Amino acid sequence: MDNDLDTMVRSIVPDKVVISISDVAAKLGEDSREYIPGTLTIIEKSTGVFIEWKPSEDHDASWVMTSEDGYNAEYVSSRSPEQKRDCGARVAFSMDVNDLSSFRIEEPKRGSGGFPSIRLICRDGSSQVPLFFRNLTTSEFIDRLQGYITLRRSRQDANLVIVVDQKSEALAKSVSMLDENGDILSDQVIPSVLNDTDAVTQEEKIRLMRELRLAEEQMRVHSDAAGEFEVVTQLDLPPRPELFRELAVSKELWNSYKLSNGSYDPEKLRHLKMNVFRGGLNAELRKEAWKLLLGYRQWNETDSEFEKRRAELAKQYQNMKSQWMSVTEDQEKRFSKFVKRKSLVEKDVARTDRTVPFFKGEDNMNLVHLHNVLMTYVMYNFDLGYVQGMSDFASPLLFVMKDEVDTFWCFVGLMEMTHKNFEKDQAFIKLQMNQLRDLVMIVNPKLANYLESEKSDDMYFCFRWVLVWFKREFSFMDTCKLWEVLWTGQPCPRFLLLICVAILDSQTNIIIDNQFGLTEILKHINDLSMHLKVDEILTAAEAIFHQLSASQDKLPAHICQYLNIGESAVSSNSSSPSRQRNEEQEDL
Amino acid sequence: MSGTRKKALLKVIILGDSGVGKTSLMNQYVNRRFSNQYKATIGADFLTRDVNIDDRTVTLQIWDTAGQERFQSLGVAFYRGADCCVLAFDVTNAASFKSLDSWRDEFLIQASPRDPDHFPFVLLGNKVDLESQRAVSSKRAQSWCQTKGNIPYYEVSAKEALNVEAAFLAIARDALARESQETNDFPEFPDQIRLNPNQQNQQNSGCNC
Repeated sequence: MDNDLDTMVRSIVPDKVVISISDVAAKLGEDSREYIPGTLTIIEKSTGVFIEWKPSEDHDASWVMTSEDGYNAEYVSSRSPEQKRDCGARVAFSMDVNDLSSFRIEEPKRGSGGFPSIRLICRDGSSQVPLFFRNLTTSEFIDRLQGYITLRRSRQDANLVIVVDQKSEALAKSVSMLDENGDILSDQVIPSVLNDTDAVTQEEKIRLMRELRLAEEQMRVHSDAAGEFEVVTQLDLPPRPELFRELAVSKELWNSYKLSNGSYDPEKLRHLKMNVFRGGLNAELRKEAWKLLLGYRQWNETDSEFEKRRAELAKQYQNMKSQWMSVTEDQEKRFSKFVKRKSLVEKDVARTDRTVPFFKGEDNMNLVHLHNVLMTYVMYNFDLGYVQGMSDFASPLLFVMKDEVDTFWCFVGLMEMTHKNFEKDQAFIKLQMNQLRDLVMIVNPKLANYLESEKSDDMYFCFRWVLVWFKREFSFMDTCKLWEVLWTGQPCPRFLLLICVAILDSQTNIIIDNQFGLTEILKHINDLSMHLKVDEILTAAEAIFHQLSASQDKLPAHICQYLNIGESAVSSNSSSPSRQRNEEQEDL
Repeated sequence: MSGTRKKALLKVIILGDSGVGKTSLMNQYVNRRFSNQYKATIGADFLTRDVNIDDRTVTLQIWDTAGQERFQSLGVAFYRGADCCVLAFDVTNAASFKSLDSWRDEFLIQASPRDPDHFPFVLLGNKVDLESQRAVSSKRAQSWCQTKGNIPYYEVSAKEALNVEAAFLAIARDALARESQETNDFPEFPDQIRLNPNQQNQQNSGCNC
C-alpha cells in the first residue's frame, strides 16, 4: 500500500527488483476465458519486501484466451483498450511478503497445454487472482520467495504451500518430537532454523507444549461431553463415490417426456427431473422448462389449458401493475411504506447485473422490465415487500423469459421456494445455518471442530450463499445452471446445503492450515466468488448426498428428516449411484 | 525495515441506509476507484489499507455491511471489537439522514461498547458532487452531530474522491489516539487490536497481526 510517506522514502532509497517475470497472466474468473498479460516481481523497498503483479504496459496487447477445453488456442479479446486497462488495474496488486499466508499451486494436466498457476492467499483471508506462468515454471519465483520466508507443503493438500513462522515452527517441531503422538507437522519441512536450537528457549518450549496439550485435552473433553457430538465424530461415512456430470438435457430428450397434448408423463417425471439434475438444460430449453420447474405451469397441464390460464394470469399481472403505477406523488406523501419499498427497488435495479450485456448501458429497457416485475411483486406480496437479494433472483428469470408477465409469475414461483429467506425475523436463515453446521459436523468433523474453535460455527460466512442461492458466487450463466439443478428438488430437499458443505469441504485445508480466524474465514469465503467450478461442486455435493444416504440408519433423526432420507424417502435413493445412473440411461 | 514493527489494526464499521454509498466509500478509500456498478452488499465484507501515522503503520480494516435492517442481527459477530463506527448518509436523500438515529442505536445495542456515550462515531454525508439535488444541508447534519456528543462530520463524494482520504485518515488518527489512552471500549473483548483472540494464532503474532 503506498502513501505519501512511502513515496517520500522511496525517492531517497531506490527499490531493488529481485526478480521480474514477464508473461505471468492473471485470470479474471473461473468461467472467464480471459487472461491479462502482466509481470510478476519481487521488490525490496525501504518499507519491506513486496510481491507485485502489474498488467503489461502495452494495453493494446491481445489478451491470451484459451479455448474452453483448456487447449492453447488463442483468441483476441473483444474488450476495448479502456476496459482492458480497467480490468488490469482492478486485479493488479502489491503485497508485503509478511502478509502472505499461503498459496495454492496448480500444475496443468500432462499434455493439456495449460500453464502452472499460483493463487496467493493473504493473512487477512483475502486471495489474489490466480496467476498463470506462461513460461511454464513457477520455481524461480518460489525459490526467490524462499529467500524471505519459510515454506512448507501442507500435509493434507499437496497443492497448498504454507508460509511458516520460523520461530513457532521450530517450537512446534521440537514439541512434537517430545510428544510421540504429535501429528502437528508435515515431514516436508524445509526451514533453515530447525536445527538451530538457540532459536527457542527452554521456557518457550514448555509454554508451547502446555498450550498444545491443553488444546488437545479441550478437544477430547468436548467430543466426550455432548452426546450428539460423540455420535458425529464416530460416524464413519462410506468413501465418497466418484461421480460425473451428464450432458445438458437437449430439446429432443426433453420432448420425449412430453405427451401429444403438451403435458408431461407423470410416471416419468422423476426421471426427467433427475436428468435435469445431472446435466442442467440446454439454453434453448430454459424458456419452456423453467416455467415448469418454477411451478408457473403445471406438469399435467395441456398446452391449451396453460395458454388459457396464462391469459388469465396476464390480466392479473396488469391489474397489480396498474395499482402501483397509478399511485400519485400526492398519495405517496401519505404512503411511506410504499415509498420505502419503491425506493429500494429503484436503487437495486440500477445495480443488478449491470455488467451482463442484457442489462448494460443507460436507457436499457430490460431495467424497466425488471423494475416493473419487482414493483408488481410488492403489490402481490405487500407484507413481505421488497427485500435486497430479490433483484438477484429476478434478473436471470427476465434474461431467460424476455417477457414481463412470464418473468413475474416465474418469480412468484421462485419466491415460493425462497421467500422465507427474506422474512424480517431471519429465522429461516438461522435454521439453515444450524442445519449446515450439523451437516459439516457429520461430513467433516475436523472442519466443524475448527470452526467452533474459531467461533465461526454460526456459519454466518455462508449467509450470502444461502440467501441468494449462490447468485454472487458464480457467473450469470453458471448461476442459471446451478438454479435449474436446485429447482428439480432432486435428489433431496435442501440440496443447497449440501452444495455449501461440498465447497466448505474443499476449503478445509486452506482454512485450517492458514489458521484463519473469524474474519479471515469470511474473507476467504467471500473471495471464492467467481473462482468456483460449478460442475465439480455439484458432483461433490451429489457424492456427499450418497454418502449420507448410505449411512442413513446412523444419522441423527433430524438430519434424515430435513434431507428426506431414510424410511420415508424414495427407495431408489439408496441404490448405488453408478447403477442408478445406468438404469436411467437404459430407460431412455 | 519498518515492517518489523508490530502494526496496529483498527476495525471500522460503516453503517447506513441502502444506497448511500457504503461500498463505494470503502472502495474509493482502499482501491481509489469508483464504479456505479457495485451490487447491493449481501452479508458483510471488509477491505484493508495500511496508513502511516506519526511513524506508526496502522492497518485500517473497513467493514462494509448490508443496508437493510433485517440483515443486521446476523452480522453482530463482526461488529464486536470495532474501534470506530462510520455512519453514512446520502445528502440528496433526506430519509437516509433520518435513519441515522436508528443506525447509531442499533450499533450501540449490537456492539454494546462499555461507554456508549463516548464511543467514537464519525458521520459522512456522501454524494456532495450532486449539489443541485441536495436535500440535507451541511448545517442540519452538523447540528445532529452536536446533539450526539460532537461527533465529527465530513461531507464527501466517493465518486469524485472528495474528502474521503481525509475523513478516513482522521478516523485512524482518532482511533489511534484513543488506543494510546488505553481506552477499553469492549471489556468483554479485551484485545480488540488482535484479529484472532485464540491460542493458535498467538503463535503467529510475531510476524504481522
